[in-house]
Amino acid sequence: MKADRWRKVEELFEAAQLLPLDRRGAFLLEACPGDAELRGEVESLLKAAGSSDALLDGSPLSSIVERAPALKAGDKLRNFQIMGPLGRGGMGEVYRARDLRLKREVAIKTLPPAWAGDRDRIARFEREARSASALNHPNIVGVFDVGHEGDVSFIVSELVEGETLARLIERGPLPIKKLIEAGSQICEGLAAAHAAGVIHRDLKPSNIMLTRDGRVKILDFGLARQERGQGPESTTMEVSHAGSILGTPGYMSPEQVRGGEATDARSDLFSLGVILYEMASGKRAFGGASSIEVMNSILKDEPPELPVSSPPALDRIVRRCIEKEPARRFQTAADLGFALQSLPMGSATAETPKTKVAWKWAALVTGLVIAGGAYGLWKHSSLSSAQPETTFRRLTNDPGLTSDGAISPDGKLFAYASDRADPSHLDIWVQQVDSGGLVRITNDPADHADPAFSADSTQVAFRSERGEGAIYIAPAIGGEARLLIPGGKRPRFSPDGRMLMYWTGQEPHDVRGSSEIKLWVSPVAGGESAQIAKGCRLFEQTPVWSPDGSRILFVGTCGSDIETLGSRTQNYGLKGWISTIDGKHLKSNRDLYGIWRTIHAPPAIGQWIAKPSRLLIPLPSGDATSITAVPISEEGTEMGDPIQKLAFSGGNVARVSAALDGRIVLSSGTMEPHIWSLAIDSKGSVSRLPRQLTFGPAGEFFPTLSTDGEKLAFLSNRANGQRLFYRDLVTGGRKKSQPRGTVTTRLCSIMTARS
Amino acid sequence: MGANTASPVTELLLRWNGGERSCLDELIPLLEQELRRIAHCHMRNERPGHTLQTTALINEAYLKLVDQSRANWANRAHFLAAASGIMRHLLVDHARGLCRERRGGAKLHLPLKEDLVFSPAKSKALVALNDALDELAELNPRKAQVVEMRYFGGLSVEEAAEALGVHPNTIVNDWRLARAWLKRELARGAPDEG
Repeated sequence: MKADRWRKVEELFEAAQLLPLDRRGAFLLEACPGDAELRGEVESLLKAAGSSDALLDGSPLSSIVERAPALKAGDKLRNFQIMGPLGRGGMGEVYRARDLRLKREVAIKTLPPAWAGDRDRIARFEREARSASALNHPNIVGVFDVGHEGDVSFIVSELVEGETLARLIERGPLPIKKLIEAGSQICEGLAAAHAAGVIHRDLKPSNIMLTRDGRVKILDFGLARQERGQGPESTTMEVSHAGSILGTPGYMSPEQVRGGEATDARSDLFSLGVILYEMASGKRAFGGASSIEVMNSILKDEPPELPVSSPPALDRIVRRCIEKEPARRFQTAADLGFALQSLPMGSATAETPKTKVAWKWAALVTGLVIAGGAYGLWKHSSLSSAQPETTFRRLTNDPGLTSDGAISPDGKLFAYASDRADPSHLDIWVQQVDSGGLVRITNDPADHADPAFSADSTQVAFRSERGEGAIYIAPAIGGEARLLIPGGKRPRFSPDGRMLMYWTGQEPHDVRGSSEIKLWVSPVAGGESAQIAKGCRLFEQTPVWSPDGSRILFVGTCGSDIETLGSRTQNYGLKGWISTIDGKHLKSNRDLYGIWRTIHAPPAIGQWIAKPSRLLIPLPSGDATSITAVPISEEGTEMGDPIQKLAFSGGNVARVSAALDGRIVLSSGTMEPHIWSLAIDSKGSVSRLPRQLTFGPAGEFFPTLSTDGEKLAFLSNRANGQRLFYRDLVTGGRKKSQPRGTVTTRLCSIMTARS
Repeated sequence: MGANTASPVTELLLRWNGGERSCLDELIPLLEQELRRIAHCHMRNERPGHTLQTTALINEAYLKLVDQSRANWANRAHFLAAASGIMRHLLVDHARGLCRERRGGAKLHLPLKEDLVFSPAKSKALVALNDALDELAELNPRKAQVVEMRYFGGLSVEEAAEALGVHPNTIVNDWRLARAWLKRELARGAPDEG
């Protein structure tokens, strides 16, 4: 039987190949007595196993692809004479050549022969190269010509003498000054190309040249498809976006890796972020043994922090570039360039506190600002009303929501709530003030907010909305969170760290404070809890510890004042109150509420600090907030004069906290609505993701579409007051309306403010 | 988020894995389309110094078509196994097309629809290998499958073992014997080459 025989061949082959070569013959003779055919079969297989076969030993693809024919010096392509090889480009060979007609040297890139048979593709390529040749910018290598001669398709471009960024990085990380200069120039080139609707799609260090005089030139521009929005042309995208898949996938954006998605200018910004990372660290941001591993890494990983020698702000900029979601990145190359140029040129330690950088945000943004130098202010307790020289440094740069900033007592860490990891909920993050090093403390899909540090700065307590809601505590360096107070909100440790103050109950919706709120003090180590302010209606954002930890101050209405509340004016009976921490003794501070009397916002107190005794209070006025220091007696019963303005924030300040060294952290937020479009089909269901239409530095409001859907009118806050703008949605052109008159606005359904 | 969620491949793969063998009929055209597209891109951009691997093509298709959060290791092995067969047919079809062209009337530039550019000699060898593999399948189907997976699909020993439901050692032995057999047959078929 054939099958039997085959099985026999298999068995003998397996057994024989385990033996040394010189013993196989004897073994087979013995194993197949009288069956020379069987023996011959096995022997021939053993022999074949030791032989080689070019095709079978390789990959089925690698050996069968033809290469572009090499050109020699002296060869001519039309009016270009080849002078010698320059290197290898993304798609073929690159030569130095001489333009015999214009008598100048140029670079010529030849294309793979696979192109030659495809007239459509050649036509498309030429069309694209022509659009690139229209780009005229000092940071973009100019494309002079495209053509073909016989079998060879080629592209003629400006000859740039210098070296590639890839070469430069091979020698190690770039000094910060050089990084900023090169990065800014790349941004300028990209900004110009993006403005012309051309996206690079294959930006990488080997595509960026640095000339000897320090100029950056971006190569291979526009070899990818020209941006055309969604239309029949977009089917070409899938073939043109793949430019770097095999060789260098490390610079692709997640949307390029996934494919099938529209990529836009923000994809280039991702690639540039990866390049900046490599410039700063000398290492690839996304690595792996194979292109698949690299692509996986792009989809899933966050690269390690940049070395401490780079400014923390650079790390934050890079991380904003390499956000997986395009909407969370810098939205334009110009914005990124601006951010790079705002970096300090020196080393990290020399980073000077800066005034708030005028970032442009795409959405509701809350940033945390730290005030440095305030320590001196507290020491000089002169009661002058002069504006102190408080300087600010922005600590977080994420789009989306960042709030509830709290600094640790030792001033080294600060904690906050942010949706940077997942826009659907807030997590608690702890960041090092100086290095910017970041730890994510919470990692579940519930909201987490209002972090507070323990007295020794090693623990963070916070409110979690997980389950029924509770206060949890976790190590500030990250680790398992532990349930502390079920139902508790707004944890605040006593200055000695032994007690925790918090409240329970429903969020009040009453300007007179709420009696639904119960304020508690519990020993952290466990034991009896004491209720503070029993029978009071209090404002839940006001309770603070006294600096010595013996009292708690809050704003509200207590005792007999409550009965008269309903019939009297709204503010009647509202006072500051000071309670002992066992909740047994209560004294009033009659004047404290006066601070908020003229303000249409519920009272909130950041912290009560010592030496001299002050309450840190954010006071809103209009669209801005002043951070004030209000003198108060050490017992908390008397007010002093005058109120000092420490700082002024353009946005709304949600929380202020101070370290023992006098530095304060505040969270400042501004709302910047932008206009988005949302495709709605005839059945009324949303068929695509919202697309952001405006990216300006100011808020934009009241969009109105023309009846043909091609023009958009909207109001913008940019420059001097509100003005009407309109934009052609087909060409992307935008104009400011000429007359400056009364604008009648009409609310339109496509306006959404992302938060 | 991970993969193209519009693609029904994940669903089909899960159902296939759950025993609905008919899903393969729906799966294969989807896979073929994606593999063609990826191969198309890669061939166009192939460059010196990089070895083009079918593994990379297939893995790329996997990344794009399958929702990673839902598929497991076994799903992946089945996907790769199915893709291997498709890859084999894609390549051999092209090679055959090339051979016909050569016989027909020696045109240097082949108006191939796709961009797989084969050298004529290699194309012939690939077709011969394919034919030999068909013969091997008659003798021992599993060994031929192992070659298809390992050679055309670039599957690792473990992946092939998972897809075929056998011990990795079996794959090692099959692979060794199958290669020896194929080499012998190919050498016999082309005695003047070597």
